[in-house]
Formats: sequence, structure tokens, C-alpha cells
Amino acid sequence: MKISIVKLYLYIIAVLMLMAPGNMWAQNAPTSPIEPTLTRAVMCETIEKFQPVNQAVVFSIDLDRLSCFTEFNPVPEQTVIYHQWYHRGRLISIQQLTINPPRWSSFTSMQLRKTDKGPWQVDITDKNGKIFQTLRFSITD
Amino acid sequence: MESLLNSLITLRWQDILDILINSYIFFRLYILFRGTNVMRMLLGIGLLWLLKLLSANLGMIVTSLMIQGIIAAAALIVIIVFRNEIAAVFKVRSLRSFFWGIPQRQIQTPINIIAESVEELATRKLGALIVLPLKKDIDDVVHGGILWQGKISQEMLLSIFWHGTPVHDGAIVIQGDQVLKVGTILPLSKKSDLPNHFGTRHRAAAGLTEQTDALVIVVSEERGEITVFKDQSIINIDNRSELLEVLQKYTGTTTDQTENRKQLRELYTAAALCLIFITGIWLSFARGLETFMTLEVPIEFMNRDPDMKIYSASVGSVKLQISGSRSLIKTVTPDQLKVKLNLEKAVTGKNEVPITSENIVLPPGVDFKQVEPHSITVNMDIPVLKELVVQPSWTGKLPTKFIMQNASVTPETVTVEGASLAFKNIRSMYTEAIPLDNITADGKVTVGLMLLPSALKVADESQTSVEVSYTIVPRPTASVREVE
Repeated sequence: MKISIVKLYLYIIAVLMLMAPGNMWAQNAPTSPIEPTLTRAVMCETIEKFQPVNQAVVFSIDLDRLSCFTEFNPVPEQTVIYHQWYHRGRLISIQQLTINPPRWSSFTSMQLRKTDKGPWQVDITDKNGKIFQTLRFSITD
Repeated sequence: MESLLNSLITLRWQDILDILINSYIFFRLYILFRGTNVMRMLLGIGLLWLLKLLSANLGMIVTSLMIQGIIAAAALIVIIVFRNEIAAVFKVRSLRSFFWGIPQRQIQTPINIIAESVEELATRKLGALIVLPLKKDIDDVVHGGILWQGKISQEMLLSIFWHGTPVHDGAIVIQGDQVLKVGTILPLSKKSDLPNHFGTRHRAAAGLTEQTDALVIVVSEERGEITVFKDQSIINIDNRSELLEVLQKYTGTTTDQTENRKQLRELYTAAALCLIFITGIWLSFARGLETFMTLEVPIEFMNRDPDMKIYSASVGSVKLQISGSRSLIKTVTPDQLKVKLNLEKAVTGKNEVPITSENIVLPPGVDFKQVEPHSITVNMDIPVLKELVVQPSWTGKLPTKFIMQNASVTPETVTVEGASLAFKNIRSMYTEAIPLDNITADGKVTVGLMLLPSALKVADESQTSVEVSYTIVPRPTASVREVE
């Protein structure tokens, strides 16, 4: 009878161990990322059905506006990112975007004026100012 | 009178030295040319100059101009006509006597010995021709001769003119206390009205005195008579004391103490007049009517931290207003004025540096009035290197049926040197403008870098151009219609 109880306890312990989450045992198990991962960032003429249209690096001033499209995958938790638009090195606007898990696409746009000709860049940053990527393009005649 | 006294009271040691040096120069010129025709001409020119000033003040313009022209011509004439006198002044035995020689210390001709010797020659009827040059040089007039340079003594003079000696026929030239030359040939006089009993010696003496201011003593071999030639005068000498008197009169040599004192008084008077004259000129320069002038003067920076560079300054020069006597201000040029700013305490970034009188260097006699601007802004910074991404700069218009999908630059970055603060707002380095108008397909173009601001420079001088590669795709048809 005693041996049966010991066996029973052993069996219970074994079952509990088998049911334990895997990360209790693994020394080098990978952790899930805290920051979102930028998978795609392009400048484009417009957005249709949440997709960039006519991706380019040179845009005509004749366009009314142009857009910066970014796609994050994965997005571990809801967070904010920024699109910082610069014209000839001078900051023109900072636009905040909220992105949500599990993956998220978003875009910002800029209305074009005659004085906007010249070299531009958009810095895609996180809430701490860390730059994911910089997109460089020009606006011409 | 009060302003004159004030001017004298405020004299600096440099002003006193200035006056003394120039007074001495004037006095030296007087000593060197005293008694010569040059001095008389210079006095005449001085009078003309005063007349010119007077006529200018009275408004007589033509007279003033005329006198100015005469002065210029007279100066030239003096140099040409009296060149021998001027040359005689500069032909001195030593620089010491030129700069410091005082007449009473000059070597005196031993006229007593000459007079005694001449009397002896006359008694013995030994023909003699003795030349005593004065102010004018006689080298151009006399010819030949043998250099003798012997100290005068009666014995020497007798032996030179003794019968049969090789040099007894020519003339001797006495300079100071030496027989300088013997056996010289003098030019003969061309006059036709000389006494008939005059021989060659007399004619030679007359010929020399017609052309120079020398004094010539002739002892006649036939009659034993003594004759002195000087300028146009022919003086017959009866005895030694008469000869002595003539020699004293013309050579200026004297043993009379009173005569010496008289000469000293003359020199002191001349020195005092020179001092007064130069002081007057100095006062007119240094303390004349106050005149203002404004000049543009560049700024010089000093004591900069060697690790920092000056990247810009609000101005590179200032307008400096100065004042002084009119005659002095007229001579001032911009390179005599300096504006020096001390950057010892300058820091990185903008520095406001005031400009005060302590920063300004002026020539003596010139006063500082004001400066514009009162301060300047100097931009200092430490030069740093920074790696910048190169971005192509496109210009023109891409044909609407195409889209430039991608462009890349090789190399992607470039290292640039510039002010640390300048890089604060610089995120990229742009290329020179690349025209889009004729681009219709993929391609590459090599283009230079646009260094802005211009103070930037590429660290590696061989890396001043980059290659830009671009990808062109046709625009989808629907969007072509939209863009058009």
C-alpha cells in the first residue's frame, strides 16, 4: 500500500512537470520582441485600399499630396510611432501614429505647395526617438 | 599763445627727439654748405617759398603757381650749376667729419709756414706756383701731377721748387697741412688784358682762379715778386705780413681767439635758429588745426585658441574716425591704422567682441574719435568630422509617363569637416542638381557634391563626386491620365 502511494505521488509530480510551461526549463528560450518591427516603408503618390500606389523617390509638384506608408509586423503591443518630415534638413512636421498588435500599417500625407520643391526625408521613429528607417526623396517640377 | 604753451607742455619724449634730430640735420646742412653759393641759392629758394605762401594766402593764384614753378626750376639749376660745390661737400675724408665735424677743429693750413716759405722763395728767386683750393673742387680743372701727401714744412716747399728738381715746374696743391700734389698743370688764362710781364706761371694762376675759388700764390723767377690770385683779383704782395693777412682773409684760418669766439657765436645762433625753425614746422604738423577723417580698416584677430577656428564674423572691417593736424592727417594711409581684437576669452559659438580705443593702433599725433560698429560678432567653433548620408538633388521634370522608383548613391556616405555647431542642422549632404528632363530609362550619373554652408569641406579631397544610379519604371496608364 505504501509503495502505491509513493508511486501515486511520483506519477502526479511527473504529470505536473509535463504540464509545466516550456520556458521554465529552457535556459535560452527566445523572448517575444517588445518593439514593433518595421517591414516596409515607402513614399508613394497615394494610398488605395491601405496599399501604397506609385512608390517613387521623385515626385512632381503637380501632385496634390504624397504619402509615407509604413507597415509593422509584428506589433507586440499598442504603441506610437512618428513620421518626421524634413525639407532641406529643416523639420516641417511630426505626425504621430498609433499602431496595434499583431501587425499594423499606417501612413501620413503631406499637402504639396510650390515652395516644397527640393530634397526631403522622412524619419520613421519610435516613441523614444529611435529611427527605424529614413526615406529620402525629392519634389521637382 | 595759450594753445602754443599747452602744446609745448604736452610734449612727449618722442616729440622732443623728433625735433632735436631734425634740427641737427638742418644744422649739419648749414655747416657743410656754409659760405658756398649753394647756401646762398637755398636761402633765395627759401625766400621764394615764403613768397609763395604769402601769395597763396592773399588769393593770388597765378603768382603762387608761378613762384612754385620757379622754385622747382631753381632747385634743379642749383644741383646742375653748383654740382662741384656739392661734390666737394660729400668728398670728405671720413664720415665722422661729415656728420660731426666742427669748423674750428678742422685741420688748419699752416699759413705761417707758407708765408715764410714763399718769402724765402722770393728772396732766392725760385719760381713757385702754390694752389690753395677752398670750397670748390679743382680736380676737373687741374691736370696731371704726382701724389705727394707730405706734411708742409719750409724745407719741403723749398726743395720742391729748387732749381732742377723734376717737379719744380708745375704747381703744388696744398690741402690742410699737407702738400697733396706736385707738378700739376693748371689751365692758362685766355684773357688778353693781363700785364705783359706776366709769365706762364701767372697766366696759369689767373686761368685757375677764373674757373674756381682757389687761391694761388705765384713767385716770379725773374723778379722775385710775390703775387696772389683770387677770383678776379690780382694782389701784389710786398712782405710776409701782407701775405699772411691775405691768406688769413681768404682761407679763413686764424689764430685770433676773438675770431674763434665770433665763429662759435655764429654757430650757436645758427643752431638756435634751426631748432626754432624745426619746432615751428613740428607744431604745424603735430598741433595744427584739427581735421577729421574716416577710413575703412580691416580687423585683425589675435590670441585665438588654436583648437578653434573663426567661421564667420559680422564684419571684416570697421569705419574708423580719426583726428589730428591737417598736414598730418593728409599723410595717414589705411595700412598705418590697425584694429586688433583679442579672442583669448572667445568660446564656441557666437562671441560679441567690443571695439574700444585699446584695440586701435594709431600713428603718433593722430587721435581716435569713434569706430563703427562698436562691436562685432565672431562665430567660433571647433572643427569636427562627421559622416553624412549623400542624397541626390533632382531638378527639372521627369516625363509624366515614368516613375523613378529607386535611386542609390555610391558611396552612400561622405566624411565632411566643419564647425561642430554647423552640423547641428545638417542631416544630409546633397549632390549638385541632376536634371530629370531627359531621363527615360535606368541609368547612372556622376555628379559633384553641394557643400552648404560653404565652410564645409570634404575630408577626403578625392571624394568630391558620387555616382547616382536610378531605376525608371513606366507609370500605370490610369495614373498617367490623373497626373496630366
